[in-house]
Amino acid sequence: MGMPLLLVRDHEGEIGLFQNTCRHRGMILVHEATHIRRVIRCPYHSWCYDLKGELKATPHVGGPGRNSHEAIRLDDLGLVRIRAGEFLGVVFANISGNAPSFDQSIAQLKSRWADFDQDVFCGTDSSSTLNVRTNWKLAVENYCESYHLPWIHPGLNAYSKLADHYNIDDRPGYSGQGTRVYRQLGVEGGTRFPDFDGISDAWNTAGEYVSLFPNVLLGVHRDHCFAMVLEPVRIDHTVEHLRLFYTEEAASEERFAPLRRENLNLWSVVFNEDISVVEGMQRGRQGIYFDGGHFSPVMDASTAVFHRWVAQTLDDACSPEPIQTQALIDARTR
Amino acid sequence: MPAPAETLLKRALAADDHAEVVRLYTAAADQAELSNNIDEASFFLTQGWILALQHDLADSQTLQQRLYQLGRL
Repeated sequence: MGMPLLLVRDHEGEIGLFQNTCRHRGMILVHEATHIRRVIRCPYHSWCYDLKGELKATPHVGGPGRNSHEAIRLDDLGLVRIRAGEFLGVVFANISGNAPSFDQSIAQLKSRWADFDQDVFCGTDSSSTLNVRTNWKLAVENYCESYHLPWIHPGLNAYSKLADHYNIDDRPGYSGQGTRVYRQLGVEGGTRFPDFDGISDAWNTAGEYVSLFPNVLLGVHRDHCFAMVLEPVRIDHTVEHLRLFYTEEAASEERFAPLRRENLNLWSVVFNEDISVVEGMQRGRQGIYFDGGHFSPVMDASTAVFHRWVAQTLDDACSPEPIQTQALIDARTR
Repeated sequence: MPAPAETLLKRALAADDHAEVVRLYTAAADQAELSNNIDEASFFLTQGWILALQHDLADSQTLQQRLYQLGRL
């Protein structure tokens, strides 16, 4: 969207998201990932902000060697904070500022996945990016359901069969599917990823995969989880950013490096297998007689949840708010 | 700032030697203050203070205090 954002983690471990714009002259403050020791110094005139976004110094603002001026009030000129929340290694931003609170939005999924509400770590060798010629919503649709598994993911289906999967379709903000059969990597070889702290036995052989609307695809297992953020570039172009997360030990120690590479390769194969169908739907839906499709009430239920969410969101966005209507009437009568 | 100090400053800046840059600005401020040139001293103190602040150097508090005492904060 072109919005310059600055994401920081302060000394207390809290994240802060700000518009990456100096309050003085609109200069970009930080242009690449960096370690900020104490303050963010604007590279233009050196106005300085701390990691909470507060303006701390305005050098020479009142003339050479004069560092204050009555017209420039530090308390009023902190960085513009953007609402943000963090879950499972993903930072969620609400730029417009009018979404429900993040805690409220994520509460149901957090409750479902309470075992995974802990610090997770991404190794340097645990990410990949895919360019896909499709609309981002088709990637979400595809991720919601397991119906396509036997034909598109034969490797996965070899041990986690369609019948082992169940729908997650009872909440309005996310949907997806789960499996009762999850096999850890490296079981026979000896080395395997350590489990997340305090994970319950319910996850011994289970995995779950949900689309958190609008555009984040999540997956959880006892020993790793992942997030794929869908970046809509054009109406028919999506960039998929995949990150795999582990315990700190599994993400950082060299002895797990081969396993991390194997796991990244495994998921890359799976997501690559999906490309042909999400791109195929993009092309197929250009057919002028396509009528929106006909869902299986059993197998497409999770995708239907996403459809309803999109419809409701568009409806909400298109509905004029009463106060705006009243303001328009008032303006016309004056 | 005298020419030799300017040269040292450029060298320290090119080497990203932040502590040395702060030290040179502070020395220039000391010199200016001895000459009773408060404006120039404040200028150099400000330069040193901001860089010390950015790089979390111990001098930042002292420099800030000196600016405060000079009525420049």
